[in-house]
Amino acid sequence: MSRPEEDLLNDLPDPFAEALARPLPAPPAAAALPPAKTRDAVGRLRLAALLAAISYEGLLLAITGLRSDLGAAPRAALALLVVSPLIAGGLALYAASRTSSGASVPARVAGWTALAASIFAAGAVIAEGSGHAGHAASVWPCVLMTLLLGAGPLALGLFAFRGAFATGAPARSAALGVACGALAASTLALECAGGGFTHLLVGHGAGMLAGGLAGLALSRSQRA
Amino acid sequence: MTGLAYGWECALARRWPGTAMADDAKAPTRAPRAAVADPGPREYAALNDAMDRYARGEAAAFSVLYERLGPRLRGFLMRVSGNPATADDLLQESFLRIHRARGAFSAGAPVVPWALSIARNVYRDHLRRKKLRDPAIAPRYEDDDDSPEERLPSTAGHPEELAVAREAADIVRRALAALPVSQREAFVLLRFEHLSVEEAAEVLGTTATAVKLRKFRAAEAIREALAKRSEEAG
Repeated sequence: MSRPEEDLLNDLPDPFAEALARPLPAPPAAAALPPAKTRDAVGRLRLAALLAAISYEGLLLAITGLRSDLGAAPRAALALLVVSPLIAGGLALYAASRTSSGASVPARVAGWTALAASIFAAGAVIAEGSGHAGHAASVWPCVLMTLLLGAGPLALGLFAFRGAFATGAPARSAALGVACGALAASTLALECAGGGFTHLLVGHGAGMLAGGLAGLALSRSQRA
Repeated sequence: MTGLAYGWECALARRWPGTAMADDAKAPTRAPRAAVADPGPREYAALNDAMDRYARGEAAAFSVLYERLGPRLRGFLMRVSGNPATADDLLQESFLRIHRARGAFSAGAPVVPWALSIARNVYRDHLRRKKLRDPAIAPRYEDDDDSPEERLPSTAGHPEELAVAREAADIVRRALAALPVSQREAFVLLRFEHLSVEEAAEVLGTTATAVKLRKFRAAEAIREALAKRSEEAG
């Protein structure tokens, strides 16, 4: 009898067959298991974290005050500057939190996150083209402000998603960070009257980049 | 194929009567089938249901999960680590993490790839801790105090067949041990855990193409090891 080598591989003996035939070790005792949230409890925790993040944004906005041209700025452009980061953040949060089945979680999460960033950028560009006409301003104060605005939501998000990612933890954590940065950009649009493509993309978008990098750096704690 | 290699193949067939080689020994014209049975869709549905119930807070579902998922996770951990005692320890840690992460398990999701991902994370963390303790240790099979014979098939049977069977299993074990961890994981998931390429890619956090390549390289290495022994026997 001759057999192709492929068939031989398909019928490989299992070197651990006998070891595996032994009984399983006893499971961890129920009393020894630490408290673990159920799915409903995790859902409530994440909702609470989201509400706390929004409250944090509101608090900082109350401290810094709204932009001086709030009544005068073109409403459509202003709405775009506020809403497009929220849409971007929603997409990035979806990418981070959705349990996936199928191949290449990191690539899929990266794709959604890139789309989110593109939506933010497109919103900024369209708003400027639609007569936003904010005054010229340095990007650096806004970079710092968006980092501050994003830090609270990021801390809350990392807590709410701690140990949640069985697969693709680095990509998902980065997407979570981008979502928090997008929330910061949306809030900043209500505080900052600065204009110009560079100012909006760099100054307001810095939080998304920083959030993504921070999420990536802290992804070990998010891994199940 | 040499005489000893042919004899080896027949010995393997008699030693593992449930394998396709055994069937072929009786009926050479029958098409070979998988040596290790796939649990089947009903078992998967029961597992997914148990995990879903556990995620909702039903404590009794944990024992069902452990009983049904435990053998699979232990098999994966044993084959990637090469050490039954280590695999048992890592199994406990895996279920601890499954317990902790139960709230994050999405309704309706398949539990087997999710649980295998967690087991893989546990194994990778184990390797990282070992490397931190001794950077000289490369991620490979662990030496242990057990005699290699304890991992091999028992001694019943014709002496020549027994020797061939033991040798074959040991060749496979050594070939697996010599593989890079990433190739070993891919090969074990596809060959022994019956995951699809897409499921294995999800577990390993990579693309389907990368999984196929890793499996191919692992299979080539094992094939070479088997062929080399065949030549030596011939």
